[in-house]
Amino acid sequence: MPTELTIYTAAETRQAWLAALAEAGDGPLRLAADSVAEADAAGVQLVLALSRSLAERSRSLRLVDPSPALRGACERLGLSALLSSGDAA
Amino acid sequence: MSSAEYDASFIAEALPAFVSEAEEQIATIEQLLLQLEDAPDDRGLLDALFRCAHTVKGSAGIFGLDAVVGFTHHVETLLDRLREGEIALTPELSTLLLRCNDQIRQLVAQAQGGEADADGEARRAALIAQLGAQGQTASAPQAAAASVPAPSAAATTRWNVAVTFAGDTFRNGMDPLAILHYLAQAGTIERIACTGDTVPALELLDPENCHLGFDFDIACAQGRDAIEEAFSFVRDDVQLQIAALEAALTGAPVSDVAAARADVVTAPVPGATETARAKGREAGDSNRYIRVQADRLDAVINLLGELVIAGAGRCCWRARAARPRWWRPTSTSAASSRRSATARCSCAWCPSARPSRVSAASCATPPPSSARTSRCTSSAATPSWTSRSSSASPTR
Repeated sequence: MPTELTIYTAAETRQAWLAALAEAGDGPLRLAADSVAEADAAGVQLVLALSRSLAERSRSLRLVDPSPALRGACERLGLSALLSSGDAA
Repeated sequence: MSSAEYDASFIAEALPAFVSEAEEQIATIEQLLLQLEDAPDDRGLLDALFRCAHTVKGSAGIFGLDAVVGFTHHVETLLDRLREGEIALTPELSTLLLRCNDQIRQLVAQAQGGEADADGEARRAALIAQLGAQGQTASAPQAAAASVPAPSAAATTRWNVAVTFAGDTFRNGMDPLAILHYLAQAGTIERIACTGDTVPALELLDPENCHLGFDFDIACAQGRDAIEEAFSFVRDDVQLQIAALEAALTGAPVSDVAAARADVVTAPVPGATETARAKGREAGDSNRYIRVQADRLDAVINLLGELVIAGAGRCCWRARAARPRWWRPTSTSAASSRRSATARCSCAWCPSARPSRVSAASCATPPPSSARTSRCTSSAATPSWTSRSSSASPTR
């Protein structure tokens, strides 16, 4: 995950994640989320879209060790579910 | 000048004006009270009376005269109830108000450096108690008014907010997260769900398109207006529904704490609730204004002016930087240096920018061939030398 998960980096982050999606694999996709220093709604929406894409492939998203910034943004936006899947890992 | 000195000099300059204005208002209050003795129900007079007290309180607030504001507030509250017809102006009440008016006059005089009276404090406390005792429902609003700095439980109301952001929200520079952060400060968000069902999969997502919506409950002391205000910058980008939750309490899944708080909401004396709500609105309105010293405003406007000038300078610099890399004023001939001095910039801000005149001048006096390269000016987007190379013949 990028350090800055915001609208400013959304396009390139999406490209990077699409590349990760294209790599064959099964089981949950693990993303190290401890380095996210800044997150906004556009960034969290991107995570939501990624988890949706994975769900279509019968896979799940695991956010490993989410940083306080990412955790705070998800909780504020009512998307704690994105985090809990990571805790379950 | 330090900010404290600014404050001191501003107050020293303007305080006499406040005192004379306040004295006028106080004299008017006295006259109005005397007039009202003959016509105690005259709505016009009662309104005028309220306005006078309100003006005194408001301008005393500007000068930070807390004693005047605090005491006048109690008088104003009673006058408000008088003009709303909640209580009647009896001769006793009229006398009480005249005595209060005397105290306001005294406090204003003290503000100007008059001597503080030792027993005035006790006298005012007694008057405040008497003001509070007027009418049977007096105690509830008075108590609420007395504890203005503390968040009053009676004004806290719970709301359900359903909001959907339009696709352009991100592009317009708005962040729903920031709005929710703001709301979380204005009140307590108790439950929030993201209604992001329309967020497409990553492959189909335009990351700059917003697909988010939220449904949440919020306990907010400042009421519906404060919630709406949080969305004021995105008003064109949201579908917003705000519903009061008191009625739906039994059906709503709320925690015990929240339910207990809701009991408090419904507890106040009937009739006082509306007043408390009106007060909340009033407080909300006053929160929308900030007081700024005229001097500081001046300073800000000066800075703004400098910013505009600096911006124009940057624009010129950019225009220069945008010239082709081969643009070098290589020739030291007088003609070319004069030309390069006048032909600097085409931006609208720059007073030296006269692209049309520049090109006319270049045509009239074709430069020596060695200086030809310097003829391309900031209108470099369509390099002029391409079209003029034939007319500026090197044989000249």
